Amino acid sequence: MEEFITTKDIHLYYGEKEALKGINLSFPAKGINALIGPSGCGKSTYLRTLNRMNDLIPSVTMTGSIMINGQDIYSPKMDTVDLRKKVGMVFQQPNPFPFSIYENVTYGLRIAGIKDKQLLDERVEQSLKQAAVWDEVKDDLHKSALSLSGGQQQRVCIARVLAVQPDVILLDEPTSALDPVSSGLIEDMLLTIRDNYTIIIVTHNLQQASRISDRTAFFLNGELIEEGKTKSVFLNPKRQETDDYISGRFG
Amino acid sequence: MYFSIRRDKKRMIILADGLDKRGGIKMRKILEEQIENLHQDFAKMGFDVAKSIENATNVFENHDEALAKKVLENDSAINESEIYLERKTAQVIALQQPVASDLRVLITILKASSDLERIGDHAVSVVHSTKRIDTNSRNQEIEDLLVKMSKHVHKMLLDVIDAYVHNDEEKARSLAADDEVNDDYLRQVRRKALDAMQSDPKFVSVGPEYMVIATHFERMGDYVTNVSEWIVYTNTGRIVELGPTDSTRE
Repeated sequence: MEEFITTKDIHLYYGEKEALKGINLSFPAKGINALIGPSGCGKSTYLRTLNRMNDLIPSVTMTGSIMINGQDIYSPKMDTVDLRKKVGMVFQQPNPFPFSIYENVTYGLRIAGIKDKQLLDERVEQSLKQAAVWDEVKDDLHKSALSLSGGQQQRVCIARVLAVQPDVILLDEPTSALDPVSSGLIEDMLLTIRDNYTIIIVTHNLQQASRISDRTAFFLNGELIEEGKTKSVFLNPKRQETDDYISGRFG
Repeated sequence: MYFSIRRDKKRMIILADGLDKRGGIKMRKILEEQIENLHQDFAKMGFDVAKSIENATNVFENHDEALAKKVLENDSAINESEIYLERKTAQVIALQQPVASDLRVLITILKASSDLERIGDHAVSVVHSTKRIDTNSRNQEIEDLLVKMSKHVHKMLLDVIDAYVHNDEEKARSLAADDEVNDDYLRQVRRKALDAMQSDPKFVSVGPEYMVIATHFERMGDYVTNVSEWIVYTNTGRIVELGPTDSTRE
């Protein structure tokens, strides 16, 4: 496996509490990676280290190294705005800005200084198409994104991430607030873009992880218990804890 | 008739503890109950098939027509058991969506139940072959050999059910060696039948039936080995080919 993201010996503390206890985990350049584990196991915390979202929490201290595409993202030279362009994030609750759909999708590009109307139009269409929401919103691009349904809002948020053409897309339980049909649309969409991005998804929905991911990592109590191809993790896990968790023996 | 079966695998016991300590999930209990029922039904089917072998052997030895009828009736029940197990297993997979070791157990039940069913079919074929044997030209030496062979297969089947019930991978693997004995029996029966046919023309019609019957018992042994392979799969997740040239595939 050629590693696109390599994380080594990640320890992370919220004050005194050690939330990540030495995580060594890597991801290939393309494909869908699922992070699973019970609540409080550290999977979301780990996900947020990948675009330095934990920097925003004052009590957090972290050690270890994270290389993305050969770059140390915790190096003092790293610009977090640049980082977050390369490593986009989608959250559990759809969080569109209170602007129009068009302005939501072009937000990142405008910040990057792009003003060319034709280019912006192209990216809006392309991103909304990739996010599988174009047909539903193409006639209302200038309506407020807040007027959309939850499922549509989430897909617009994904389009907003795609518009800046990131390498990596982090998704923190992106479908847990959505109905099954909207969740299904997002899963289908992730499957269509998997060949072009490194996708890392935190999910509590184990069927979702087994349906769409290429690789699965199982976290428990701040430790990485097992990582591997999804088909081996779900059919023939190496560790008893993994078997117990995915079979619902605890959770 | 139901058998009380406890799968005394270490893991299961740990889990039972784990459920209490961690506050187990109700859905999990439903799945465990359903799997437990399937274990019992599978084992019961295995014992029914063993009974068929025993009865078919008695039919062969004594040409007992009433018992022959019973083997045929028993076979219908075995076929129904297979259909029932297939239907129930598919239901549990669809509704409970098991993964990992639970899923492997269910796949084993699904696959191994058709192996058991085929063993039952061969027992029926032994009965049919027996009907074609002219009772005036029987060869005691060959028949004794065939009875020994059938008893060996019968024991293998009981052993594999035992290995299944106790989820005993080692025992399952050792049964593959037992199956080689059947190949020896088959060779002996063939040779003796040919010798008999060459030395006395009255054996010309009965000799081929003995060979066919030996082949049926030999096939039963192969299906027992298949069941052993599924027990190994339940334990390891590996699809293995047990026998003289063991091989493993992921």
